[in-house]
Amino acid sequence: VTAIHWALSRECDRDAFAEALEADGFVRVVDRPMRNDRPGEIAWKRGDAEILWTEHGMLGARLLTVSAEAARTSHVEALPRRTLAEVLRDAAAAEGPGGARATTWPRATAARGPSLVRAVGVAIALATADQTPLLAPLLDRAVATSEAAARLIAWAIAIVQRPALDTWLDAALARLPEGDDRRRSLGAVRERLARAGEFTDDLAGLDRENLRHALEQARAAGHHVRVVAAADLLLRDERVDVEVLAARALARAATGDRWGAFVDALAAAADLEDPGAIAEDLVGPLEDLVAGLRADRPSGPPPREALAILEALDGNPARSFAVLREVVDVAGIDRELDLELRFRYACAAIYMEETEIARDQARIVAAALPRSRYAAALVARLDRDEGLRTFYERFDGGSDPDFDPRFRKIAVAQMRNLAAEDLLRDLLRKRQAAGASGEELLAIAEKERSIAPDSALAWLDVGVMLTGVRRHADAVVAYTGAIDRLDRSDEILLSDVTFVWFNRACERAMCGEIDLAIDDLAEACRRDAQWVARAADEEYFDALRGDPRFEAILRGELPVDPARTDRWQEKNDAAKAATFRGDWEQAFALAKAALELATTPLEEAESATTLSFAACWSGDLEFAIESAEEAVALGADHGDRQILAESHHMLGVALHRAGDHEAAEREYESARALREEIHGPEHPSLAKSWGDLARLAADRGDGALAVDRTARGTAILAAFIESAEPGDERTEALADAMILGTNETLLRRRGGEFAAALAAAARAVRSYELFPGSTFSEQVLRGLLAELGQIVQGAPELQAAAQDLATRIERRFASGPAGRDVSTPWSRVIGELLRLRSTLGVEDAAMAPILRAAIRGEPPSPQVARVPGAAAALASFASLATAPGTTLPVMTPMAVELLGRGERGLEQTLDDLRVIGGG
Amino acid sequence: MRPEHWWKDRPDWVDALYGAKDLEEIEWLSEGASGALRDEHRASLRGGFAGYDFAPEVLEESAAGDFVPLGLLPERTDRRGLIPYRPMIVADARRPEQAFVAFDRYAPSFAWIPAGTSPGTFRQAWAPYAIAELPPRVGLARERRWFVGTVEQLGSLDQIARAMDGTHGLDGLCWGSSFDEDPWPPRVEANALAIARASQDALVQSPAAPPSISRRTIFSGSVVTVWQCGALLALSIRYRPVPHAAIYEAMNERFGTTFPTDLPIDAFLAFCRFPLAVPPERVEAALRDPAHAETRAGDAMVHALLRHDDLGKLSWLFDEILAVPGDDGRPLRDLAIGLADSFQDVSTLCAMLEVETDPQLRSALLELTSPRGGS
Repeated sequence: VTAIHWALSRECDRDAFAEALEADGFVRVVDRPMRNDRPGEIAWKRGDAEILWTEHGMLGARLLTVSAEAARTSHVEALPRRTLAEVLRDAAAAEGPGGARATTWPRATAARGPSLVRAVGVAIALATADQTPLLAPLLDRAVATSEAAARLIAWAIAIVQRPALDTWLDAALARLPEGDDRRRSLGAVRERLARAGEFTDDLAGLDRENLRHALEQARAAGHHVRVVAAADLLLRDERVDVEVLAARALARAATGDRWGAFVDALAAAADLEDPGAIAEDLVGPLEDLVAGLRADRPSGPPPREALAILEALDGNPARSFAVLREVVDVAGIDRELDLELRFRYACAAIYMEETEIARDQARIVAAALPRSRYAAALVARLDRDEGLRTFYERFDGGSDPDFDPRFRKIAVAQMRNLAAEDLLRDLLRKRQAAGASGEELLAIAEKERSIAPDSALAWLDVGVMLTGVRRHADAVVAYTGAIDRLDRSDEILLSDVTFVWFNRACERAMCGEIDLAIDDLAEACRRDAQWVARAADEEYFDALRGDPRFEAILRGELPVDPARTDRWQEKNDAAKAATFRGDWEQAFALAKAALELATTPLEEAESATTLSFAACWSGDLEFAIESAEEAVALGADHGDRQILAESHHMLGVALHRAGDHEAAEREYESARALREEIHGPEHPSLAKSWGDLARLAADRGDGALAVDRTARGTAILAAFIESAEPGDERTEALADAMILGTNETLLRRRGGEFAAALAAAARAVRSYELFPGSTFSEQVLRGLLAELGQIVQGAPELQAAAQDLATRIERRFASGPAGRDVSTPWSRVIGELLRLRSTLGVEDAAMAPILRAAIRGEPPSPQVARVPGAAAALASFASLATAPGTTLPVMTPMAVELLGRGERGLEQTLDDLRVIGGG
Repeated sequence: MRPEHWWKDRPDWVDALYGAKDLEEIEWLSEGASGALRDEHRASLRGGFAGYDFAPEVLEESAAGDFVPLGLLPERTDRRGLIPYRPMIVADARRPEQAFVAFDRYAPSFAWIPAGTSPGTFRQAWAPYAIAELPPRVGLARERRWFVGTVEQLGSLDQIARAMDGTHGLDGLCWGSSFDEDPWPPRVEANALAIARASQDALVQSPAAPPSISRRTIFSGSVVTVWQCGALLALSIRYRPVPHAAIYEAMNERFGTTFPTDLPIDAFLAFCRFPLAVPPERVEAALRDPAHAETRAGDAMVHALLRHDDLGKLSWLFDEILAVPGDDGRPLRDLAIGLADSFQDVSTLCAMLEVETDPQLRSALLELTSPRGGS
């Protein structure tokens, strides 16, 4: 179609034009809104008449491109528009800033005279590739007369990237004198264009759509390094995009990466026969590449990174099989990689029903790894009858820590039912169906439990088998074990296993535990009403008959479960408080209870995050990861970025502790980006993220990056602390600054930068001195003191300064709240009450009723009274806060009231009273 | 042959629909079921059903009305299959001349769709809501936008998105500004966890566009988008026009509003969540009016929010509204620089640089227009 191009003035009303066209039978066929990184486009079609409206935000140009058939429509003719020749003619008449035109922008625009700068943007956007040489006189004149125009030309060249503009650029640079600003502007673009092929730094910040765009541009320009980098990013989330794979295969081949090209090409080639799966221009080159590499296969061991795509292919066993069939045969590789490949190959072969291949590979893996649970399971999976039996007889519950976690991931992704416990469960069902004795079944179930001690299902199986052999007391223990693990289990739905309470009720009734049996029966009936009817005929409950509680249950009158009257909020808050106190066990129990009480997904997400936190610090990393993943999923589903940020952070922490640094980095970065989105880049929560990322970098051995990240966090905190009012946020920032400073001390000391380490330590100590709280992690303080010792060892000349810091730490630690004078009664009381709050783990506002009771002369509650020194502190407070001869007897109740309403913090309230009382 | 319809005092059109062979998808209600449905409608509107967010008097008016539910259309669910809607055919005593269709038993009477008196008019009226597949962006050529308020007034984008999650008539799946097109398939038959994971991908925001959250309406497949620039929030509805002028004209006359008269009713129900909505035309009028000079900076920001992807409207703002000379105009020129930079409008920044004489603004412009060698 012959196209005609025009520039449109801003008076053209796009929406009105669109409405008129569509009323006249034109159909909209393209609609891409303008964004900062790409032009907007709307296109219409009616028969052969085609119209395209483009808006280039960066160049300030609105263009209309029409087919000859559309050019004569009244809608197009009515638009004020100019051809390139007209734009160039108007631009020739435009004056530069040194001319007679108004010397301020407002006046210039008010006069509506043609602007050279605007003309440059429009002309470059409007000119087709063939017409670009026509721009030279305009560009020459613009660069000669206007620094602003030179800058816009530089941007335009970088965006448009046309050979004719490159030629002009070289000529213009040759003419401009050294040191000229215009030369600098244009030179920067020249440099950028020269490096375009290898430049990849910008890619990390792009979303998928723009990454694809960048990849296509790089491919068109033959920038292979850039293609590979863009493809790496597009493929990183375990998503397989065949076109991207094909493009990377070709680019890798072009850069000499034969193994990478081979694997990518094989993976992509699986779709070659599917028309449309791969863009036409890629098909021929890809076929040639595969043929060429098959004829001359890559030699030597493949680097692990060349095989990284296999992980993404786990979700697609057919494609995985196609690749591995060729790779395994040619790869002369080290044992570890070899076994992993073979395991993957066997899994894929099972899926593809290539049983012989699967057997061969499984045998090799199992023989090489006699203690691997998953290798053994693979063999058993291939032989469900005899193999299962053999697996059961030989299996000793061992595992191969080097391989099993890796194999588990592959097995889970590629096929279900490969876990050893699942195989045993399978065997159990088979033997049950075959009428095996209760003792034999119990033995299988016990083995199942021995290898999967955290599986609720395994405990359930044992319980059921014990019921079968009428070992009532043991069955109670097994059902209790199952119930304890139900909440941690993702293998079953709670609604599917309500029988576990019913069965335990039966067994407890048989053991004479009447009260507990009734509780269990009530719980079973609350969860599923079918158990009411079942209970009526159950002979196990004969011991309960006549008990009014049992009879009430049979009538459907269920007692209220006391636990459920507790509100989610209370449990959740208590769980959080327990995490802050470091009481992980209690935090875990409370968070679990909160999760049960949660009634909305966001409550669930919050509790799951807390649960993950507690699990993480009590060492159950697998569960911590699972809980955090669940929280992330729930947060995302409900679009709550705050919760999502915290759950990503938590997931990062758990993965970090589990040693999966790559995944942890991804999660920490997600949390950081979300926090930045929510609060802006200067918020103290960002410092936490930088601290996380720094620790991760340190653990990955990148000390320089760790220092850099720590410094970013420290800078944010310093600025915040400087400007923040006293309060919880500032206190938290000071604690974080203290931790970051300590970390930086360690990092710099390890890097041999002793003076810088000491400076970081000094910053940490300063934060500690400003920290108003009464307790601080002793571990961190000890760590900092140890670092000071190390610094002195490495740089004896710093001994005096280090000693000074150590003394300051010890003095602050001994004195309680920082800088607080403990010599007056008020300051002592304040310190003690702050400590009481921390010990109780409550919010400031929750201290109000405690203080109120004290000034009324009432004794503290047992919970408060149990805290050492609390009763004395409250008595001192009451005596000071109601001192006669001052306004305190009036003011104190009011201040406590404000504290209770959350309008003042505890420390602020006590300080207010101290001032009022003249203390 | 169907037996005679049970309603003795029925208007004639009931028989026309009741006997129609090509309306077999209608499940006609018995007298008892009809009464039960009417009671349910009343009870839910009076009991504070939260899905539709209208003033109690509006809901009461609907609840108090005399109407007869006649039949049900096939169930429609959101794309996750979680929330069912059963459209209801109604005879309204206040408007007995034709049939109406309610999206479900909870829809208040003013949002009932007039469906005429014959099978033909019924099909025609319901067609925009009985779409076979969700239209792509190009199929939703009409777009209306409004400035809906500030973050302080309405909460953050997240909070609004969450509130819209509970809006009756909106699909549960949403997506972020990285996607020009709705990235979700027509049906998402996966468990909640899988959907939650996919939602993470779908909610990715583009760094090159304002953050936004979009959703489909259930029946017409219109796209409702809320987006944010700084502390300001805007709403857009992309839709296929529907011939409901009479409904909107009556509403506009009654409430003194200026609702667009071609909005699908399900999109309108979402729009009703934003009582402070201001259309772009009002903002432009304020910018042109010298009497509004005091609020020019705020109006300019709202205009830029609403027109961020229309270069014609943006350059009008930069060249005519914010180009105020002298020291008095400095704050507005400063604002223009900030806005042009946020849209990466390098052409405007360079045009400003060419003529700006204020040293501080010049320095900012030099910084912002400096070409970067490495990026």
